Formats: sequence, structure tokens, C-alpha cells
Amino acid sequence: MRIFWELRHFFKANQKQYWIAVALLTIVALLLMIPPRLIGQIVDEIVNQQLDSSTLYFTGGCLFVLAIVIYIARVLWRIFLFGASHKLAAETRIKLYQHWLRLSPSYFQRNKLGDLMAHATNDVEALQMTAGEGILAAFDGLLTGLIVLTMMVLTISWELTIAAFIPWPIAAIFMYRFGRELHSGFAVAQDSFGQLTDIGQETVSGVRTIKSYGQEADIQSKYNAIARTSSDAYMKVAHTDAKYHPTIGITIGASFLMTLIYGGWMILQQRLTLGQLTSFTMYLGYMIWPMFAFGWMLNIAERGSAAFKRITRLLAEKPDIEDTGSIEQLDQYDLNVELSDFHYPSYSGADADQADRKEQTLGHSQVHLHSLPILKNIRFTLPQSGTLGITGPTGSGKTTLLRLLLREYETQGAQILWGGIEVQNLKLDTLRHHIAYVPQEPFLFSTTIRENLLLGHSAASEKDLQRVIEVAALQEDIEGFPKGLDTVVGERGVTLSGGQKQRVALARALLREAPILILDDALSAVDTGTETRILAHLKTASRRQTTIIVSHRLSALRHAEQILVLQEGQIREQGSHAELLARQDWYASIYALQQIETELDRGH
Amino acid sequence: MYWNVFKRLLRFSLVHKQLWIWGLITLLIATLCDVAGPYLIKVFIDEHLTNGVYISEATLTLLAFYLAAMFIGAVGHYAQALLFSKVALSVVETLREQVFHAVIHRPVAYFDTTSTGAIVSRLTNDSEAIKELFLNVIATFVQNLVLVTGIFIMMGILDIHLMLVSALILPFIALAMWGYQRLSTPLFQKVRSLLSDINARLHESLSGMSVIQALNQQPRFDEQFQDTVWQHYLWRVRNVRLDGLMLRALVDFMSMLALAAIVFAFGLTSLEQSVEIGVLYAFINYLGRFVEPLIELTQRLNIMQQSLVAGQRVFELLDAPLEQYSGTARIEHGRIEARHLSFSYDDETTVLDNISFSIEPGKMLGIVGRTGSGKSTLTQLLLRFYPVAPDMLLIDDIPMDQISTSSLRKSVCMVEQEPFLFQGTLAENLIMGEQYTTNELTSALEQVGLSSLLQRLPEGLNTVLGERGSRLSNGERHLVAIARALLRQPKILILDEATATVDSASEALVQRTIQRLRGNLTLIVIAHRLSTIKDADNILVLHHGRLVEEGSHVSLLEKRGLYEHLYSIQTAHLALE
Repeated sequence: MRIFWELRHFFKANQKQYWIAVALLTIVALLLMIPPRLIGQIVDEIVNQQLDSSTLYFTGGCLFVLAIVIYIARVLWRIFLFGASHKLAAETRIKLYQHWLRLSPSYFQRNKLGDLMAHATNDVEALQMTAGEGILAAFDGLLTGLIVLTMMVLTISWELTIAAFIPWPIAAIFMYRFGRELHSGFAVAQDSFGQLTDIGQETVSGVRTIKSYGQEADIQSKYNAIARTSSDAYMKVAHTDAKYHPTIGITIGASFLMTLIYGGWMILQQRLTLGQLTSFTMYLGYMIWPMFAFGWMLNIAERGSAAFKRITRLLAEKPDIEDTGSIEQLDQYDLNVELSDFHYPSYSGADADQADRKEQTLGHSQVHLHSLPILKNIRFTLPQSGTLGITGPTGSGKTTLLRLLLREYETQGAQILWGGIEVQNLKLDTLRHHIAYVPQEPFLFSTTIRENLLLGHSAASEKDLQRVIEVAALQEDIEGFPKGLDTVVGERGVTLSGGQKQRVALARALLREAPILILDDALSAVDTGTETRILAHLKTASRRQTTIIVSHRLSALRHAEQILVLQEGQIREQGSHAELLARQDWYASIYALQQIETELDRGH
Repeated sequence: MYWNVFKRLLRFSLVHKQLWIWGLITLLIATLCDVAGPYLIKVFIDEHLTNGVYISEATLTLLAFYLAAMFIGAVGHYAQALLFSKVALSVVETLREQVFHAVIHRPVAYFDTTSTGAIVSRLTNDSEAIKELFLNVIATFVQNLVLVTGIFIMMGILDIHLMLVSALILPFIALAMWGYQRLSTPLFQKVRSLLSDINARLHESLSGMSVIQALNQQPRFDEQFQDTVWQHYLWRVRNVRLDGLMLRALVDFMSMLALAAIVFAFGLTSLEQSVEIGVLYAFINYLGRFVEPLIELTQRLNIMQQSLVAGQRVFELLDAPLEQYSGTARIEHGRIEARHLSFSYDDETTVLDNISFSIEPGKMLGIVGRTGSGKSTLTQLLLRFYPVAPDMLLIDDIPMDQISTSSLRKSVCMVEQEPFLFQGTLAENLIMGEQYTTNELTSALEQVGLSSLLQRLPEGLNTVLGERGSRLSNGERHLVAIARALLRQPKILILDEATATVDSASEALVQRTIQRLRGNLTLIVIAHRLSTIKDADNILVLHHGRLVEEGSHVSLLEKRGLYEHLYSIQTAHLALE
């Protein structure tokens, strides 16, 4: 019930609609009291043989007009009330989306996509139900109940009313219990449906692996088991659901019976007329809705309040990286990194307590024994327009380092200066504006290649497009597509090969003409020949850009003025290509590994 | 067309004939009990109460009947609801299993052209829609039809004229239902498609958030999202308007008119002849009972269209030919031969053009070519992911289509460009339906240099790897996939750019593993780095789907052709030094 109070801001903002709806509902409830009375009077007149045709015509006319007025009022309150509730859904969706747009990448790594989607779909729907059907059930149920009860007691008989309602409290208890049972049953059923979706998704994504390992029968039996669980769960829901109708049937039947037994006795004593009994029966029929409404409202409110709690908690989530910086201008593009150590902030889980989380991000994480430093003692400078290469074995912290440069994590124990300004002091917008970052796994949006490229710079001219396409060596590929640049790349770019996706992502980043370019192993799926070509293009096209290239292929780093070799989060070697070769350490041995065959051949 | 889908769905449920029949019988009994109540009351009022009789043998009998009807009716309703649910859920369960079966046995080409979302939707949402059809449309329809029929029969027994007056509203209600269907279907579809747009946008934005932020595109995405949400809202409001005008309010309106008509007609009759007041009482009671079912029906019909569209999609999937190979020949050695192999995915663009080569058991074949030269396609053909003409591709001199599926799956293993790991533990991902000891698993991981990973993972082999192995780095995922393949001791192992994302140190490890394996199995290696395949017994150079060069590393270099060119590009920087 509290949920209605918690949504007060929305109700207030849309109070006109709600007031109108409430007024109309009241009018309908009041007008509905008239027909039973009119019909009761007719019955009495028939019984007493006093009916004349003018009364009959009058009553008929009245009923006809009432029907029309009630119809109009009913149509209108629905439009006002439900219209408003859908507005709440729309507003909440947008609020969530805008909130997500502000959260840091790490948030999306630790929260499952499906869970976030569930908030935007199920929880939003539950809220909308609360603001629409919930209000209807709460207000109209209560109102109709009170009005009908008043009519019964005042115009007919309080004794009869008591007699008629004897079976109801018992029914109400049952209904409430069923409601709870149904609710928890539904949760289980929905969960099983979620599992069904999960296994479906996984199967389809991994179908090649399943086929090549001959796992069809295995996965089918897994799926069948889940499908069976799902059916059982829904059958359990059906068991509860099936009790509703009989309970209502017995309640109403018993209630009518009580009315008739007690009412019949009153008629014999001439304390009640047959017409009043008829009116009373009709009023009793009106009480079915409030009875339903009560249980319904409890369910809706319960669900709505759970949804509201989840959504509120979600909206209260602070970005890990708050946009605290104020400097909006960056004129120099050199980089200076002084890092003593860095740990990932540790989270105890997606729904970890807010305060708890804050404490951890505020620098207490060092004391956690489990979070070993990811990066340690990293110091280097990169002059403006210079090129820095970074390499090292898998998991040595290369990507983490880049993420710190982009301020995707808060940098305690580190000083990162772009153009002499600490990243924390730069506005996030400004920082992002100056850096073109190409991640290892390219993400393309399901639209045309052109649209994907224009995301980098929406006002880019056709000439700009052609230029970056050339640099990214995409020319031939695009010519090969049926619709060229206007080819739709499909969900996450599925229609493109891995190398093509990477090159589109690269072109998109280049289009931004940002003064800083960061490639995170961004050409790993491109074959070596093409990679060499692209690097050569980059060298001429982005001569003035400050460039950072991360790669496993040392050939890609050869031209960097400075190369860092990371290992287990620390700089193992540092220097130019020639210097590193001369050191005869990891770099040199890997280089030899990659090139030894070549050397041998040259000897032949 | 939808009529056929409907019939076929019904036929699906006929497997459960027993349930259907019992459901109908209990429904009839329950409905009979339902409609008996008001009639009994009528008898009480007219034959006893108006005559001043209150307690008598006859009234007590009536009471007994009333109570019996009430309780039998309750039990009957409970039973019929369960029986109809059972039918619906059984149908859907069977359907789901069949759809899943159809999905995993579709040829791989199907998955190339159909999006994951669409297929998953067949498995979940569509079958759910069909469940709704059975549960909420067909069952409701039958239940309400029986009830309304029962009510009208009772009305007819009580007073045929008044029954006819009540029946006057039926055509109007039918008209309203029909009109509502016509008007609401397009609205409904629009709302649904906008909602799925919203969800698609959300899904995409959430998965690509870091890109949106890195590109500073938040305002633009926000704008697009808001646009869709408000559009959805507008159509939703239109929908609300139509529902408001035509559903409950309208049926309530008509029933009130019917009430007025009954009272009026009854009153008119009473002016001319004597009437039984209990009849009016019963009619008012009956009228109150058949409004609800009619409203319910109108609303439920909305689902029907949707369910039938879903049904059609599901049947299309079920009817599509399965991938079927009935061969029984087994692979013993691992000799591969291609004879004038040509292949096209779409019968238009040739991907492989007249390729011939052979490789003896235990030898190593390297495949080289630029992106898109057909390298991956060739290996996929060896896995029989796509059918080829008989005699074009043979393993152990057996045409592909005659090899038994189990033998093929056991003998030919591939580590793909982007290996797929399943949700589950590391061990589960390695075992994949076979049986291995912990020792075997550990040593397979050692072989690919993952012993340190094993120590790092909190629960070792039993560590859950997360969605698609998200706990592992790209390189580690790849190495796990190699370990998985090695465990199976295949006759033929295909490594498709398996080293593209693995760092050089791990690659060296893989190299050593390959070296160790040489001679034990037939190896096919596709690599971007030519160094990987330098030692191969034979190297194929593919260019635009044609085999342009073939031979050993040394002989290919001597040819000074494409291979030498690729090689020189790869090593260009060395020449500069």
C-alpha cells in the first residue's frame, strides 16, 4: 500500500488526469446505485398489481439514459487513468536509460545484461500496473464497496446485509492466500522460463561447437529437462489458479443462499418486500468486484513496490567514476603516468550494499587480501605526437592500463596527466572528446556501415568517410558489399568477419580526428598484410596524433619511439625496438620467435 | 492460411484426447450446476415464498439441491481448469522439445542467415504464445461458450419471450467483438513492434555502452531512445482509447440495455397477465453472469492472432528439412582428399573453385590466404557444416555424406576462430559429454600451458567460467578450446587461426604442443602468421577461392608467387633494417 504514497510525485505531476478519473469513477459508482432501486420498485408494483404503463415507460427511459451516461463516463475514466499510467512507464524507461548512459563501463561488466533488461521491462510494467489498475482497484474497489454497503444498510436492511456477508470473510482469507501462492508460484515459473531462454540462447550461439562435438542429444536432454521443469512450475500455478473460480462460486452461491433464507423469512414477517430482495440481490452482485479488487490490489501493490524498490536502488547507483572534473580544455596531448599500484575495486556482488561499496571504492580496497594489485610501479612519459607501443603476455595488464588512461576506473595510487592535467580534473566529456579509442573486441551497432562510421563524427563529409575507409583498408570490402556503405551489418555486426569489424571500428575512431589515438590490439583479427598496410597509412595520416598501440604482434610496434613490455602488471622492459632487441630479454626472445623463421630463410 | 495453423495446433492437442474428453465432461457438469442455482431460487420464490411457505419438505429439498449444485459445481470447475491447463502445458512441452530438436538439427547455413534472437524467440516466446492460445483462448472459448449456451437454455425454459429479448444483444456483441478485432489488431501490432524496438535498443545500448561513451554519443542515443519510447506511448494511448470505447464499457452498456429491455418487457406482460416474479429475479441473475465471459472472450481474442502467427513460424521451422546423414562408415586413419572441390553458400558467389589436394594420415597441412580466400570455408566443409557434392571431399576415401555422424564428430575436431565456451565449470567445458579423469583434464591443460590458470582459479577445474567463459581472457579461452579438442584424441585436428588472439608466449606453447602431436594425427592449420605453418608437410595457398600454389615452405618461396609475396609483406620491416 505504501507504494501509492511512494509514487506521489508522479500522481502530483499528473494530478489533473487522476482527479478527472477519480471524479468519473465516483459518478459511475453513484449512478450504478439507481437501477437496482428502480427495478425493485417495479417488482413491488408488479407484486402489488399497482404498475401502470407510464411508470414502466419512465423506468425504461431512465435505465436507457443511465446506460448511455455510464458508458461515456466509463470510457473517459479509462482513457484518463490508463493513459496516465502508461506515461509513468514511458518516463521510467527514459529515466533508467539516461541513468545507464551515465554509469561507468565497470558497472556493465559486473551486472548481467538480462537482469538490467528485466528492470526495464518487467519492473516498469509492474509500476505501470500499480499506477493504473492498482489505483483503479484501490480507489474504485473501496468506493464501490462503501457505497453499495451504505445502500444495502440504509435503503434495505442491516440485518439482511450481515446475513449476506457471513461467508465473505472466509472467502477473503482464502483469496488472499491463493494470491500469495499464485505470486510465488509465478516467480518460480518465470524463473524457469528464464532458464529456457538462457539455454536457448547459449545453444544457438554455440551451435557450431555443439555440432562439431556431436553434443546434440546431450543438449536436447538438458533442454527437455528444463522444459519439463517449466511445465511443472506452470502446472503448479494452474493448481492455485484453478481454486479461484470455485472459491468465488461457493462464496457467491452461499451469499445468495443466505440472502434468500434470511430475506425470505423477513418477507414472511412482512419486514421486507420482494422488490427490496431483488434490489438487494443486485447490490450483492455489485459487491463481487470490490471483493476481487481487494485481493488484486494487494498483489499489484506488492509487485509494484518490489519493482519500485529495485528501480530506486538502480537509480541511486552512483557512477564509479563521477564526473568531478571541471577543466574543459585540453591543448597539449602529452601523457605522463606515475602509478605505484592499482587494484580493481572489489565488489561483493551486483546488489552489494551501497555504503559498503562506496567504502571500497574510496581507497580501502588495499586492505583486502584477495585483491592483488593489477598494475604496479608503472612510470612513463609520452610526448605529444609520439607513439607508444605496449606489449606483454595475455593478462599482463595492458588493457587495464589503457582503461586507466581513459579514466574508466578511479585511479587511486596513480597520477595520470594528459597535457599536464590530471585525468580526474578533466571533464569526462572533454577527455573522451580528445581520445579515439579502438577496443580489442569491436562493437558495431545494428545499422548500416555508414551510420556506424558516422557515430564517430556525425557531421563528417563524404570525403572524410572515404579518407578513413582508405586508411582502414576497407575500400575493397565495402565495394564487395551489396549496398556498399549502406549495407546493414546486422545484430552486433554479425554479417562482417572479425577483421572487417575491427577495421570498421578503427575507421569510426579515425573519423573523430581526435588528437589522441589508442589501439587496443585493435587489428588482431586482421591478417598481417592488411595490418602492415593500415599501420603504414596511419603513420602518414596521423603523423600529429599522439598514438598508443597495444599489440601482440611486435611488428606492429616497431616504429614506436617507446615500447613498454608489461608482465604481471609491471614494466619488465622499456625502450625503443632496437634497445629492447639489444637487451636480449623477453621482447627479444618473442621477436625472435615471431621472426626466427625469416632470419633462417634469409640465411638460405 | 491461419485456419490451417489453427487446425494443426488443435491436432497437436488431440494426442491428449482423454484429457480433452474429461475436461469437457467436467465442464458440462460444472456449468449445469452453475445455471441450476438461479432456477432453484426461482422455484423457491414463485412456488413457495409467494404462497407464504417457508420451511417445508419441498423447500428443504430445494436447499439440498442448491447446496449440492454449489459444491459439485466448485469441484467440477476446479477439475476442468486443471484438465485444460494440463492439455495446454503438455502441448507446449512437446512442441518445445520438437522445436528445439528441429533447431539443433538444422544445417549450419540456417544459423548463418538467421539471427540468434529470432531463433531463441521461436523456442521461447512463440511457444509461450501458443500456450496462451490453448490456455486463455481455446479453453476460455469453450468454457464461456458452454456457459452462455447453458444460460440461454435455462432462460428459454423459464420464459421463451424474455429469452429472445435477452438474445437481442447477442448480435450486437458479436458485431462489437468483430469490430474490435478489426480495429485493434493493427494497433496491437504497432504497439508490440514498438515495444520490441525499445527492447532491442536497450539491449544494444547496454551491450555497447562503453563504445557509446567513448564516442561521446550519449545525447544522440538518448534522443533516439526517447523518441521510440514516446512513440510507443502514443500508440499505447491510442490502444487504451480503443479498449476503453469497445471493451468492457461497451459490453456493460449493452447488458444494461438488455436489463432495461427485460424489465420493460416483463412489466408490459404483467400489465396484461399474471407473471411469476421469480422469473425476473432469475433473469437478472443470469444476465449478470454472461456479461463477464463475453468481455473475457473479446479480450482474449486479441491473443489469438498473435498466437497463430507464432504457430505459423513454429511450424515453418518444424517443417524445414533436417540435416540428415545416415552414413555408417567410420574414420580410421585421417586421410583427407579433395577432388575438384567447388562450393558456394548461395549458389551465386563461388567461395571455393575447383580445389584438389590430399593429405596423408599424421601429416600437417597449412592453409594460407588473405581474409576471405575461402580458408575457413574449407575447414567447415571438413566438419560437414555444409553439404558438398559426393566425391568432391573424402576422408579415408569415404565421401563426406557417407561417414557416420558419431565417427565424424569423434574424429574431426576444430578449434575455431572465436571458440565458444559454455556456461558451466572449466571441467564441464572440457568434458562435453565424454568421460575423462581429473588427471586427463589436468594434463590436457598442462599441454597447452594452462597449469598456471588452473592454480589461479579459485575452485580449480570446478570454477564456473561465467557466460561464454567471461572469466577468461581471449587467449585463455582459446587455449581451453585447444585443450578440449586434444582431450578427444581426434584423428584430424583443425586449428583455424587459433593463435590470432593468443600472445606469443602462449603461441610458442601451442607450437610445441603441435610439434609433439605431429605424426599422431592429421593437422590442418590456418594461420595469419606464416611462421606457424612453416613446418607443414604441405601448404595450400588460396586466393579468391582458387588454389593458386601448393607445396612446402621452401618450394613455395622458390616459386616467387603469392606465398612469397605474403611472406615478404609479413617480414617487410626486416628487409628495411
